[in-house]
Amino acid sequence: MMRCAAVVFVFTAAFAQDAQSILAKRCQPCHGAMQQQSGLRLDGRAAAVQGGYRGAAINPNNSRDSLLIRFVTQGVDGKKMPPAGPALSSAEVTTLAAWIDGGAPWKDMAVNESRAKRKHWAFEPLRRPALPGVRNQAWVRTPVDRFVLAKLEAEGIAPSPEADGQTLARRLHFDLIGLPPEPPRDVDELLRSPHFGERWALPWLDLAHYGDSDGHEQDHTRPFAWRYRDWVIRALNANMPFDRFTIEQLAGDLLPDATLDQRAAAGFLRCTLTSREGGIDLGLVRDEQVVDRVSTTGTVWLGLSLGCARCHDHKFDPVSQKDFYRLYAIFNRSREVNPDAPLDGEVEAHRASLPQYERRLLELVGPRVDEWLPLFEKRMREAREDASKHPVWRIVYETYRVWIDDADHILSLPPRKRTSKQRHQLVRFLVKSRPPVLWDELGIKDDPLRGVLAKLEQLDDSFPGISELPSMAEDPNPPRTHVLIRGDYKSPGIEVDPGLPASFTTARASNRLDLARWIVSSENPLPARVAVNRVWQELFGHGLVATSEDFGTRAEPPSHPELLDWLASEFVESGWNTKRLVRTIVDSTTYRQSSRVRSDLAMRDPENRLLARQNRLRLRSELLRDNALAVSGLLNRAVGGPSIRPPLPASMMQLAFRSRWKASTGADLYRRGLYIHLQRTMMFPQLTTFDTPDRLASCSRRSQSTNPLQALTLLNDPVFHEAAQALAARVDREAPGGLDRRIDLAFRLCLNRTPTTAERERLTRYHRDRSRDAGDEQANIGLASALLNLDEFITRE
Amino acid sequence: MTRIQAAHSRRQFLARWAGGFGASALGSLFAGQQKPHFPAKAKSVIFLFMEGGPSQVDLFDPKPALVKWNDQPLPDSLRGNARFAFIQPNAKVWASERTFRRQGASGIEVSDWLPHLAAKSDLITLVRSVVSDQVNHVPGQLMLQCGSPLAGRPSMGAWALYGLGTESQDLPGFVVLFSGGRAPQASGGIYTNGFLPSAYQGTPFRSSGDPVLHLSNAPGFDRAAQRQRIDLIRDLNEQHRLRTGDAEIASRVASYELAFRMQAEAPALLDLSKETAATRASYGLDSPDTRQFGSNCLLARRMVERGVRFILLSHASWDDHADLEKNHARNCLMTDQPAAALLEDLRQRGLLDSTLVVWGGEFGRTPMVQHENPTRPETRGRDHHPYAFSMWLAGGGIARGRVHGKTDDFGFGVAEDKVHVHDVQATILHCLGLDHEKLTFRFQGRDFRLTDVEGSVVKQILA
Repeated sequence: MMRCAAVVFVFTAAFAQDAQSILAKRCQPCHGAMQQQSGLRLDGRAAAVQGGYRGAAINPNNSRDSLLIRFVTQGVDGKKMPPAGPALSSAEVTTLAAWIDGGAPWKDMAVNESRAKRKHWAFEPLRRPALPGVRNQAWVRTPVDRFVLAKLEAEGIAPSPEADGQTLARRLHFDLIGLPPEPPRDVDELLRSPHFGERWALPWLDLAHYGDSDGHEQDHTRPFAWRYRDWVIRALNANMPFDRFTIEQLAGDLLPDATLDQRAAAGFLRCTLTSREGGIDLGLVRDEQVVDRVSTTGTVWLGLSLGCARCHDHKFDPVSQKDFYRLYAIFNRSREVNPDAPLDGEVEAHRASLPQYERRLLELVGPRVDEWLPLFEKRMREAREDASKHPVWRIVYETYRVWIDDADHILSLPPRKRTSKQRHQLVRFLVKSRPPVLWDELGIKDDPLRGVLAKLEQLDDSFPGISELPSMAEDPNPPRTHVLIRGDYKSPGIEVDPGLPASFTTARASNRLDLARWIVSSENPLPARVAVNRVWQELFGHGLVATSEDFGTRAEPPSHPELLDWLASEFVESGWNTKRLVRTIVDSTTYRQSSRVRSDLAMRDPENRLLARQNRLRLRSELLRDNALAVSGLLNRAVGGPSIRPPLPASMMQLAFRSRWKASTGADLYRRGLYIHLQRTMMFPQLTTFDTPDRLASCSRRSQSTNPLQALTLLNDPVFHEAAQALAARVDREAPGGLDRRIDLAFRLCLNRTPTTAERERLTRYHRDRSRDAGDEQANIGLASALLNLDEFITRE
Repeated sequence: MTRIQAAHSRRQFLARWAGGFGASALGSLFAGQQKPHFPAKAKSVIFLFMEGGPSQVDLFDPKPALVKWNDQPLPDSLRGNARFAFIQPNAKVWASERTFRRQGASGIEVSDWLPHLAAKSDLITLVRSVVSDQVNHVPGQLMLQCGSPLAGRPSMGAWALYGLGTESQDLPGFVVLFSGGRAPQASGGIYTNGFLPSAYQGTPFRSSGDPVLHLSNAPGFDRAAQRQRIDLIRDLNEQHRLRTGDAEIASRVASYELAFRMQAEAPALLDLSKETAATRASYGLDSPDTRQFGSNCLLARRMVERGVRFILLSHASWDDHADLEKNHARNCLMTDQPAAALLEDLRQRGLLDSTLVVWGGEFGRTPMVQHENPTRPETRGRDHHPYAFSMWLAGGGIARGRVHGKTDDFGFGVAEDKVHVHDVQATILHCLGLDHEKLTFRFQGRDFRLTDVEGSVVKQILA
């Protein structure tokens, strides 16, 4: 054997050069210094032996056991290399195999081991630019104006005049608190208003993709999801510094002595979808959740489509697949928890009624439940350890895991260490599943729990419980993380440790808190740029970077790069002060311009990127509803609390897989749109018709469409009809006397201005015709309804 | 930029910034009419979505070999590392109790549960080798209808509308109808616009009450009063358009006109009394068993006549883990006659050549049994099976009387001509004149398409 090997070695030494030239020509374009597809480099011996995400590419002295040879011959998982051009000839394969069998000697040459990050504006360090000079000094109110005006002057374009006072008031009110200017308030008051947090929570909840249900299959309600929404509103109202705002949402639970409030902030990570479908692969569900957490974090704070690197190295941005799974590993160390977080008065009521509950529970399920539970648990534990031993019990166990949060944890606890709540969860699952196999094993003939579930649910509903809040916690036994080949969680590649994207930093991170702190560290220029751009987008309709979700190398460059950097620097230096940033922008002459479309710019700047005017923006779906309720006097302005369910048309009910939509009553019917329960598979149609995203994934920009279903909604939806009736009655009440006075008041309430002569004439004519046909009251309603349908009413100008 | 790319970027621009950035007045409204990438065979699609997973070995894929293996586990070599929702891989074989017959010139074998379709089998291409990657309902349904198991991607109908717009002046371009007792498990996920503009979302039509949400006038308004009100809104909007110079207001005015026409046209569409007695009878409207699905099929034809681009009929559910004999027989009774009548009706009216009809579920069912109760054999069922199942296609661009693909002797895996659901999607778009690789939309920094990064047109089933 020895002799043989020696001969082969001598033989292959001659091949080394040829092998290297084959690798250079056919492999290194994708697996070399420039690109490392699948994490693999084949331009050095050590790198090749170390291999990529699938492990070692070559196994020196053993070509038969080398991935490289398998890839270029029969292929792996249906993938043969090289993917383009002719397959390697048998002579080339022989060369490579012989070279490997000879120990794969490498003729050294200089290679650049680090992966260069391409120069790209968004990745450059943040530098505060100097303020540009402008000719028209009088136009400048805040530094923002210098950047905008300098560019307009360079282009020879005159800015637009200031919008009239009424338009400006309406604009400021909708932009800052999402309500019409009734009564009018100044900017300071608006920034202090408790409605500021409601207004600015809207885009943030789109980003977090907040929802009130699981999102999959039966789409179970999440009764406590609102605790996170309330946190967002409170944090925005308190003007929590954006770095703090970031850290608490990504890792509030990991802060020293974390408060319940901070744990609620981590509810950001609980906006992921869940499936409770029987037989669902829980590994898949978890994989999707972790992927979502990585991708959403990338979109929200880095403006990077990290999700692209789930299946392969990012095609355009310096994020490798390995980077993706290092971030994945950070989130993979956490588990979902739902700590008790009682609201005022709950604890006392709960404690007082606990003995009674236990008694009634016992009556319902019978005293023998204590005989059944031990076997029930034991079999589930056995089925967990060995899937094939009891196939039927395995189904029971898997269903248990799907239905019960924190299922494995409860099952592992010794019975006496369980809280009463945990014990109730087991009992509830027993009552719900009541598996025939259990009764068989216990020798019980008739299912003793038939019909008990409904009564138990009734009992649970009538019993004062303790509210929870969805949060996260570190898992004491986290699963290992592997690079998943082509993103398939059933194809694990090499193991990876938690960490940050290698081309952005050398800092280390082992958990979410490290990650969050790195995100808002001075080393990272992205979050400030991304955040100020989103604020700009809210106030102008589009960002300085149009693709507010993507700051990567394929994104369009910013329209005003210096302005973006000035705002971002200012933001960081102000201590990440969001309200101050908003103030800087809304005080500017740029913001205060008229939104009148200018025919002189139609060809030169059709998208108004140069900002020679403001933009007309249709109100967000939620605000559009708020506006109708507000002007008609119906709006309930209460802030915060559980979600509400306005009545749903009966015909909608048949569309959901299994819906339990119990309509709210009383004043709750008129809460702001922000509080409408978001059943992800059956979104409230009024919202989706006006472009509320489905909240299944992070959304950085809403589309703004115009379609006939919107017209039908504003004309015929009972809520808008009710608003028209209420508005008509209010006008009648507050402006008794002639039609002119009523028209004036209705106009002021809806549009914050007086009607033109032509408008007054047209409304008067309508009123005359309509009252002739249907009487004065109907004419008033028709008139009010028409105002609520106007493009001007649903637009912030 | 090629012409197509230019058209696409303009379309994206219009669609995304329909609200006030200089889009032409009507450009964004249901996206107007656009051009296919190449001449289309089909103008409309009717997708008969059989929710829950119909059993291919009991309907379309006869496996006499299974009789020999009845009540035994499948050979190990076959099972590989397949995963199921509930049963273990060593579950026992259950040979179908159906008889299969060849009918028609093409000699396609179809189960005795589907006598009406069997009589029309010369009109269809049966694909026996469809595969999906998803073993559970919701991901499976999203995979079939949206090309990805992840929620949030646009549905096939939304893509079709995005690519082609609608030809209907009075109706939405993508309509969804339900039958069978409940909505599909993936609910709105199968007709969502996803990240495409909301104008492309499917509009659910209800068979009772208002067919479209808020189609009826508010109390106190008859049609004349509605017209009066819309005229007022139009005139005031028009004055404001002149003041602001915003062309988008014209688009809003147009949307009110379309809404007004839809208010008249949608109820007229639902009024089946204008159809002849013979037509109504052929769809089974006279029988309570077939009336629901039959009405939906007939409505689908009437929508095709009115230029609706994509009609999705969801029939739920075929998910028979237990009591399969009884429940499948019932579903076949409900759907077989209407589906066959739809094919024949379209053919007679000369619409079959321009209408693509597709029948299929998110997966099939196992050749093995799922036993809930061993003492009662009549309760037998089958588990989910995405590894080989059947679909059929007919009409616009599809060959007639053809069988494509073969499964192994057990109906467990594909033996020849595997067709992934992405391939089905690519083929459907192809029939509509759309190249599935070119129909893309930029979202979160990436160009997305219906077929993700996979899929190729199944040329062998094209006419």
